[in-house]
Amino acid sequence: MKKRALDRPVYVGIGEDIIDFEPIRAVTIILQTSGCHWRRCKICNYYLDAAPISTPPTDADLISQIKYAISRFPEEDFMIKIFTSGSFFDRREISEGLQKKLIEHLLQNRTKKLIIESRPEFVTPEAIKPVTEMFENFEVAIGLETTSDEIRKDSIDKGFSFDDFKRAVEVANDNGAGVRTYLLLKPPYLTEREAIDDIIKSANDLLPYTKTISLNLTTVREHTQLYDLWRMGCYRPPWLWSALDIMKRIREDVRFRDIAIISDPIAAGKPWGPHNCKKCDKLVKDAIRHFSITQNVDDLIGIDCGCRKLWEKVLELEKFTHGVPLP
Amino acid sequence: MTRYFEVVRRCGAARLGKLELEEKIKTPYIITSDSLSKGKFVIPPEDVHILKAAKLLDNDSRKLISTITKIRDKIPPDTALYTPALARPENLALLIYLGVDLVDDIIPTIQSYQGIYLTREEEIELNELKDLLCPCKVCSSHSIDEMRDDESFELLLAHNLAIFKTECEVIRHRIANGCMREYFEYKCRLKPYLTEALRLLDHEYNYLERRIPIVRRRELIVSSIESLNRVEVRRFIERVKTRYKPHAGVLLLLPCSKRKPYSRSKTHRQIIDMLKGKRSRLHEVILTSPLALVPRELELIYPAAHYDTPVTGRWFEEELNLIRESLTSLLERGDYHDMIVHVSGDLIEVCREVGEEFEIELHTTVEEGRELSHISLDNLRSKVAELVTPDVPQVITKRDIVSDTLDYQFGTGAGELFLEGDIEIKGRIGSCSVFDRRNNVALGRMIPDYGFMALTVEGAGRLLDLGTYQVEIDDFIPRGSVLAPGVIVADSQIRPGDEVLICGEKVFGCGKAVMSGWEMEEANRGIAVEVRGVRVE
Repeated sequence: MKKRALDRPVYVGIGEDIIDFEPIRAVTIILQTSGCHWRRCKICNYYLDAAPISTPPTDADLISQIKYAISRFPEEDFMIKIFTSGSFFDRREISEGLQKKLIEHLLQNRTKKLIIESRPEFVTPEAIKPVTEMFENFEVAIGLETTSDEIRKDSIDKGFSFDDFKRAVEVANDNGAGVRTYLLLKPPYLTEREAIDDIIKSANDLLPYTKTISLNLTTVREHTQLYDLWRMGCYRPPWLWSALDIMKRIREDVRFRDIAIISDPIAAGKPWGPHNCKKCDKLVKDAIRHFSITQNVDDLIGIDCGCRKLWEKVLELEKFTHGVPLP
Repeated sequence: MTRYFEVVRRCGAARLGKLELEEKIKTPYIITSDSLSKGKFVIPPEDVHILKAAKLLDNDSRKLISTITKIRDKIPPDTALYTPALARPENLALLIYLGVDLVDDIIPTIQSYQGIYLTREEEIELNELKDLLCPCKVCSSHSIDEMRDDESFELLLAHNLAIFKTECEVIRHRIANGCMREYFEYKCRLKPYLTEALRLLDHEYNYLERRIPIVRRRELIVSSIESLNRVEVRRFIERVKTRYKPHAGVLLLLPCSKRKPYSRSKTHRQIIDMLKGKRSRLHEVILTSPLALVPRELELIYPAAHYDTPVTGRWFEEELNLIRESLTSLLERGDYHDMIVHVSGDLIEVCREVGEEFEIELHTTVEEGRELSHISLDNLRSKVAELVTPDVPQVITKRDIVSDTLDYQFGTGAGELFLEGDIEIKGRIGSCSVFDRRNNVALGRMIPDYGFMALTVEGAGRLLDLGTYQVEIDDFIPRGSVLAPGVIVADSQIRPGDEVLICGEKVFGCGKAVMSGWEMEEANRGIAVEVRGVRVE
């Protein structure tokens, strides 16, 4: 891993997101902390972006990180999404007092919304309350990945349950915060069809709990168990068709009229990222990105390629290979 | 107990079988994607082993060979082996040659949706194809443009599945004829990994050797460097080195001939003419590739009378080495004092080298590389006349031929045991019968098709003390055949086609093995031995 100055964040970037189905500029900040303390997920290597545990950033470092991020803020209105390579509300990464201090810095009248990511066990009244006192529009982002405890345990080893998530949602709501939920399309050991079914089922289960579903399309990262599986030929990242299909089905379902479903495919079109065939990867990825901002289902309709039929066959036949992806 | 699957024919590791589901299925069988996704094909819980994630073995000869041979050796022989999502026309012959019984058409189906046009030899992008290459129903009634424009991919799919099925049919036909090896030697040229697989498999030797029949009526085609390593060839060379006892006196080394058995060829008839009246007093041995050397007495034995190989007069070093080693073994164990070398080219040098090592008098008779020229044949005649005088004792009689055959078949000493006492050998040697004159009973008969002795119960009884090729059966009296569950112990040397002794508590008999000895012990179903005769004791 690259050595990074401790007073600089891992990443600051500006993209787009939505608030109440309306597009807005979005600043993504990944703070450099000592990183995730769980570190067991089979798909994740984010903790490699973290600072060394032996020399974690000081409070002053973290404040400079946030100041650096602020210096990059856009002129117009925007929302802020804060990540660490772990959980912002984990006091081992950022102490409680510092959490508050960092958020205070962000308080500006152009900031329309704040989203902070955390594992559910760190979503406590003590952590949430100070934020909602400052930010009226605040969401906690939780990487639930799936509502199936079995898949979350066996395919990911995430270390918490759907019940833990529900409890976190309750705490958040009770303290005036909403929840944005990340679902993971195609954790290992699932066929493409099972992966789609899992997301559809998860979305249904989430109806009472979330305002936004953010669909993460699995990308194979180095130094993970998933990477080894992929190299062995036992894993294929999800098809973009699957994501498109899921988003379309959810958007067309009236029960989800108040829930946004968004996705920002990473490494789309690469062998280690979500992909279809070389011919249509860009087209479909762009459609997914565009739809994520508009939430207009028309943006997903009429997109086609010869490989869609292949994808349909894969959905039909993959379960008969006994554990190897097609093609 | 086996309920669903039975092997009905073996060809090395490849087999024809029947799988009893709702309808009877003949294996090797292609399970269709359609029947899988509609739930119409349900794999029975017993009798079928699913090699999970078999698709990972594709294109990897080493992994493929080691995985399938290991799993095949581990599961019972009468369990069908299924490799999901692995087979395509290119590798089907390899999979079945290795002993896979069930495959599916998942990969050819997926390939169709990828726009790949399959032939039995090649996988071609439809976009790179100028014309359809096949006379199947789809290809003969559609143009390439129609196939290309078909957005449903159904035309391509129908063609690809037809091709795949044809390949499977051809393979089934090859197994039925016992010629799977020849077929795979041909198919393996298509891709280096397939050739690699064949070489690795031959190198492992035991996996195939345990399964390859001892005799076959078919021609054995030796047309590649891999053919030199096939089990039948190595087995023959090995047995001549270990079971066969060389003779003494004058050794005559002769060239091989295209026509088999050699003595029926024009070449050999002319040579034999020169030897009139002397043949029993010298020992004829034919030098050849790939069998190295064939003693005249064994020329009827499979595969000596069955192989066909390209002859150009040039030899590969591997071929010369085989001859060098076998000739050395013959001279080491025999008691020859003179060696007439009636061969030409590189072979003379090989004979000279080996002869010198043993201080044997070497006489070359071929001039200008032509074995059949007047002058060469004349040289042969006068050399034989000079060395084989009427006072030279006989070394090869009819009895020796029968005896050497029995040694080859059952192990050294079998001939001596079998021919003890007052014996008469009646008829032409290729189809002779052996009688015990004192008791006036037949002991055996030479099978002209592949040069083995078929035994009678009395004949088999004479080999009992040898202790080999015996099948010990349970307490019952077999009629027609012995089934595998009835076998208690069987000699591990037994291969399909072998003559065997049947030993029971109440019976003694003989017959012909249908499966290998180890398989008789492990299988729960199928015919182990076809009984020729039994006597109740």
